[in-house]
Amino acid sequence: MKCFRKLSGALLCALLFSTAGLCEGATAVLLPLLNRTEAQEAGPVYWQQAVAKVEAMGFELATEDASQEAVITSMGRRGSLPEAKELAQIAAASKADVVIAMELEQWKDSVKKGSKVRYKQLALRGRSAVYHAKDEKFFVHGFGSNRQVEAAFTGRWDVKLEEWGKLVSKETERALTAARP
Amino acid sequence: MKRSCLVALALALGISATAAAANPFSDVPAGHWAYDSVARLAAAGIVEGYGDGTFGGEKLMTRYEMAQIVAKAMAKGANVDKLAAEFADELDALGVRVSNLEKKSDNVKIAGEIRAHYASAHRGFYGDDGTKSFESALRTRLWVSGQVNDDWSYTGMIENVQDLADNTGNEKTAVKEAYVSGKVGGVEVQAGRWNEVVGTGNVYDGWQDALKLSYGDKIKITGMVGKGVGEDEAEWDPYNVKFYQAGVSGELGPVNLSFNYFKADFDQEANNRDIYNLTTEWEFIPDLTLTYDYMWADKKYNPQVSKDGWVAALSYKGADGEEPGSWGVHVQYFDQPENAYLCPTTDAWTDRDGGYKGWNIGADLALAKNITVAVNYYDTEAKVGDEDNRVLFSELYFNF
Repeated sequence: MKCFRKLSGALLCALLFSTAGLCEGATAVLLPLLNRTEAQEAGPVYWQQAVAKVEAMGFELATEDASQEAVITSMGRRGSLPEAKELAQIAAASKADVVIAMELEQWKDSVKKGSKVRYKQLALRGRSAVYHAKDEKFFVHGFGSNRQVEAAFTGRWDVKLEEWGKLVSKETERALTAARP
Repeated sequence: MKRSCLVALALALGISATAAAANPFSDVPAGHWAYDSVARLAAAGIVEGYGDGTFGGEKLMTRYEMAQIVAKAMAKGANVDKLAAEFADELDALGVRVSNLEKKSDNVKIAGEIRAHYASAHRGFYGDDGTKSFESALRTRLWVSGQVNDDWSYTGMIENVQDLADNTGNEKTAVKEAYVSGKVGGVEVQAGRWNEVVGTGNVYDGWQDALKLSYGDKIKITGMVGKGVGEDEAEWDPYNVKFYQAGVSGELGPVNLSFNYFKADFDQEANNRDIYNLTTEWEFIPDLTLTYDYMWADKKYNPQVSKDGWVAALSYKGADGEEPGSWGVHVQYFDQPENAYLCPTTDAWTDRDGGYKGWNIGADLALAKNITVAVNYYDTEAKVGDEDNRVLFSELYFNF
């Protein structure tokens, strides 16, 4: 059982903090998604896409520490993105080059009736809060999608979730690009 | 369970700003290092306590118990791929399928739609007098969509229409959509052939070969240049139009506003026109939306009609093929002079010399997943002359 406890801890560290494919240099902190909607799958997709982008761009994902836990708890209680000083504290404690937090504000689709083709109108909106330690810059950026999608596709594929994944990937890339050493 | 287990599982589920988890267990007080993680996992149904209201965090657990927790987290959508791999044997014994390669999306998608429609008209189709007429057809559409790269995608659609009203065997198959869409910087680009609905479609809902550029989110600016793609009957002048369109749309509190400008150039220069269209959309109570379109042209071609017109609609919900049992109803009134629209979204049949006015009532229902029925009734009259018509238009959709 002791081996089991140590093994599970090690595996979980491996799950979150995979070292495969990393190069030395920049470190990034990813905070969990602040989800203001009922879309339960948005969180796992956010984590999947953001971690993949962090690793693809050669950043190392920082290990979790007390400074992150405090901000995560505060995010959940306040229901808002962290402020500049909170991300700066995380960056200092984790020795991270960039700290990223995102929230999902809107998760809607509606049937758009035309007489020739039936469409779904997507309405996805989120915001990111990013802190760059290099130049101590903090910014909040809104992003989203209001694409029209042929309704024929939405019955078989979760187009909203795919679109959300693409948005997260692009937003993470945007946040990391300026922080590259 | 180790500290990182709880936090990791909670992180994989994300933070919800909408639910504040109450203290679920007497032995995990609010100040405990694991309080938030335990509360979140308990609220999500991933972990359960003992019958006496305690969590028992210091107790040891078996691999099967851990596998059960991972299985619950997977069911809730948490990304626990590596844990699932480690506990594959135990999860398999619990009957949980583990697939490291399971993907939520495919690069190339194929989707189809069959629509059977039946329409009957009090008068004939566009100007035939005194005869009751009907049309019935089976339309099959096959879409294919694929990712070109992270930013660009392609969508194509072929359509076959079988006329059920006659047996002349003149079914037609055509490429109706073939376009690419993507982003260049922050500008959305769409180019090729597709059906465009501008605003509510009361001025323009048509097949076109065009290039469209859009920029913005809460306030969106759009520009489009293209030409209409003619229908087979080619009775519609608007389908032989070259056009330029510019528009801006945005939200003003609970109201969606849009303004669009069209410059339309026809084969016959005398038909050239500039059209302006202002649309407001207001969901004043949940699921009940009031829409108002005002459109006007730069000139009028018939002294008997004005340059401007309007359309008002009230709609409640709407059938969604993904949600069996969902339904909607709508009613609308239109008063549209011919020069102030190009190809409006309507199935009304009226000789539209000078334009038309009238009303429409309709309803739709999702009978089952991906099976939808819609019925519309139109009562319209031409703005010039005494041509009037009443049309019942019914459609049954199957998506696959």
